[in-house]
Amino acid sequence: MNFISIPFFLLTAVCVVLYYRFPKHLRWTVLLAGSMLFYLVAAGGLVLYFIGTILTAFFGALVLERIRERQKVLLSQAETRDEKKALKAQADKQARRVLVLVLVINFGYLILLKYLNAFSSGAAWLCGLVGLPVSERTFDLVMPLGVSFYTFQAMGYEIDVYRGKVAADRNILKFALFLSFFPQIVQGPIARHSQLAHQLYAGNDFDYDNLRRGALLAMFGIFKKLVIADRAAVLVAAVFDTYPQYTGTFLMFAAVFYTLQLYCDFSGGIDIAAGVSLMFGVELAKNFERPYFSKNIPEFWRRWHMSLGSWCRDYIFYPMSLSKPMTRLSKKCRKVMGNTYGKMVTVILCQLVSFVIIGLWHGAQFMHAAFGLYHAGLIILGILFEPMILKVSKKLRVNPDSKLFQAFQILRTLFLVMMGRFFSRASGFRQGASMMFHAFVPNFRDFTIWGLGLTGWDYAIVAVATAALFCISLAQERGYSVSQVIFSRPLVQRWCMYLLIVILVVLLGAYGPGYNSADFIYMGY
Amino acid sequence: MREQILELLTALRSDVDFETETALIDDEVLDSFDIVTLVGDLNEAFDIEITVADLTPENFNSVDAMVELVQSMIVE
Amino acid sequence: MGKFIRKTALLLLVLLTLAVAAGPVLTPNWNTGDSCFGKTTKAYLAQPEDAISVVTIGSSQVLRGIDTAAMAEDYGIDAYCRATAVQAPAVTYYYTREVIEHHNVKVILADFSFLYDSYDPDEYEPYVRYAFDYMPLSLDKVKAIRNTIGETRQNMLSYLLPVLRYHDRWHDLTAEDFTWPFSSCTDPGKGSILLDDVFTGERNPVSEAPADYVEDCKYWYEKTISLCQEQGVELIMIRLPREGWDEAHAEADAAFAEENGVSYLDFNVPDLFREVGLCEGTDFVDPNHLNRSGAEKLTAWLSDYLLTRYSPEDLS
Repeated sequence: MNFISIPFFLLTAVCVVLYYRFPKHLRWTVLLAGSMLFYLVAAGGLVLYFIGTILTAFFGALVLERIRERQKVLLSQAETRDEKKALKAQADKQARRVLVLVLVINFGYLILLKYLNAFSSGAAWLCGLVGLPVSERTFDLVMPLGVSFYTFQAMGYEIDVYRGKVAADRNILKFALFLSFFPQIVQGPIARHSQLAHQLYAGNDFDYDNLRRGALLAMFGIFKKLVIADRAAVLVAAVFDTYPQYTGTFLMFAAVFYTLQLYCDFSGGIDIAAGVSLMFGVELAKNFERPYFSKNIPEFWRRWHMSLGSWCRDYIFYPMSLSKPMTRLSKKCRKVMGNTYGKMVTVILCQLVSFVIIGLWHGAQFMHAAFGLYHAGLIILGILFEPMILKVSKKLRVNPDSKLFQAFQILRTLFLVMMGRFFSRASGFRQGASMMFHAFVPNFRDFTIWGLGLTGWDYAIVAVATAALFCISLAQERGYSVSQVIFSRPLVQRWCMYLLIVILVVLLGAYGPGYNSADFIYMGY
Repeated sequence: MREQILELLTALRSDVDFETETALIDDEVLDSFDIVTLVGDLNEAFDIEITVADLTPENFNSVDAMVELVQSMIVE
Repeated sequence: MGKFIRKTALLLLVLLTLAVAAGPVLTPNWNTGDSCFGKTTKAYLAQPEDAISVVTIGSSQVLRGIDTAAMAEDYGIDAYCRATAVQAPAVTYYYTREVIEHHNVKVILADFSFLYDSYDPDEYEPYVRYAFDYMPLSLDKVKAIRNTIGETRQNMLSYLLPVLRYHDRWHDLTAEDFTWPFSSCTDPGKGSILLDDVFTGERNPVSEAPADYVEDCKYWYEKTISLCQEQGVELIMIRLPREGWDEAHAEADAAFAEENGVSYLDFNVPDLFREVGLCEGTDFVDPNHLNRSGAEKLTAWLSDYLLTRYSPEDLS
């Protein structure tokens, strides 16, 4: 079920009306019913895998909590410090076993789904190297809807319960809602139990402002997707999908459009999810915070796909960097390489792992890992050269607070991000690398913006819509709330704005087969 | 001890005024590198073992919070 | 909450009204190229009740090949042409049903053009649009659309709300687009659109495909025949001169006609071709269509044929 479709609109409308009709403590059942319906319609029988995750995560958490509770009881009864230590160690061991089991089942399944074909071709390649005759088998595995998202969300919950940060859910149906909440199952954000669960379970009061804000936000998301993203996609496909037909400046040009498309499509979808959630009084965690205003790559990853970044930080980066092997390594490196550079080693190592995982989260091909490595590489370079760069900029008397310098930083970051996109959009690593290289070989003489699938009107619409988006983002960056401005206007103006935004989406949206009058002239007798 | 910790912090991020900041984590003044590097520095300096479970805003939002954390870990 | 629902409902109603109103403005008038389906459809719909006794229906061969205006003028037969370019089988059924409902039809001359070819609504989208865009909304129309385009729900919506299909035209709009929805049309051609060019090359009509019925299309043609039989309308199956004809097809056509109990006239058959007086080199605008000269001859022959079976009063 597409977000932008009549069925989804009807589902949302019906759920919203029912939600506020139900008594407060039962409102969550409406959300659960809606989410299950959504999942069944969108994914059918694959819901069984989803149920598998729900069951393992739910019961695993209960077992973990029971281990902890017993540990507490036994600890209070224990007398010596050694006894206490032993008990703790034993409970930790038990808990770890349960956690590992749940993680292996769920992540194992995810990895199998996503990477089985990659493993198979990798294994075939290896066998080929060694000379073993083996025929490559490709598996046709269908991925349950949202599997990457709900697996991460469920495992985050599991780890939180293991760490004692979150109490295990007692009601399996409510827990099912936490994982399946329909606005966020398709594209995220990956929610934390402590942030989302109580909002879903408690039932929220009817708040007129939430409903308006939610509807407006969703509409804004639809605008970004249909008017900008889907339009830019035409050009991107024309250039990238026919590579190497278009090269040089065309690639650079298309990369700009792809950067725009990806942001508008992804953040637009998130806006729709957040808007719909808000209509139920549920505030989803932010997933984007105007990422193209970032001044450096680390900041970019704190503004882009924030829920994935923070998940990897809290459940991979921190545990890994603070693990015993890493702290031991860090100590050794500090001794050998001196404090300044020694302490960077483990940070760099853990960053590499985190980013390769982020890269691979997007897909099983090597190019996705390359995407992660590209960004990790930029961050690592930043870490390594930061002391040097500070010295140089002081010598050059560069004022880090000047608007010009900040603009430079933003454009530089945007450019670096744009280049990395070749690894997300290409058909494979080799093609991505080739495209990135060839993008720097200008061919201005052959370059034209025509014939790439967009008409003059299309370019005009993209330009104006992007300019509007830029102004809105700039206002938000400065702390202004555009929606509040709209809501403070008198009724007639407000309604005109609502109508205007819908009319703009309907007229300007790049949906449908498009109307080219030449195709419709009847000359064929 | 407070002096020592303050020194470590300013060496890490000279641009932050650690005396007045009380929302280092909540306001994302320190990013994940800073935290990890800081934890490494603290572990090294005070021979303690800060773990993931200790990485909470309560423990790292201000210098004083960090002092408390380190003290509690030394006691153990 | 009630206030919110009422406000939202009102807003949605306003939006729906705007969307519906935008449809006729944005829908192209189809009055370009070699046909003017916008005009002809509007003129047809403006006909008074029971004004039509004979209907010609099928694809462009019929559109070009039978002069319904001449039938009326010269022979006193109230004929009208309901053929459209590349007409889908379900449209043939829908148009037949619609014309029988509003007029006292006695005879339908039907050329079942897709009996041996499958109909791809995506490939033929313009022609599907020509056939549906100016017909009034009705349950039959919705059914016909559904049966022509298949199961895709998205596309159905674009037929019910044309703004969704033609929204890209917003920057091509002229003043005429705003007045056209209100203008009325007359069609002296009575639905037929004849062409004057002459094709002088060699015709050699030969079929490259076997004469196998396509079940989906056959279904609609049979349904059309049944409908006519139920309503007491005589359906005469005709085959206008076309490319892609051979004896196998002629036999299959004849078998189909017999199976369904209808008369059958195949103008590709050399005897009948000669009897009508058709002549390659003067009567064709291209290998697949008759021109004005050919249409006049065929119309004359058909009118005589009809008048032998019916009295003039029946057909006027």
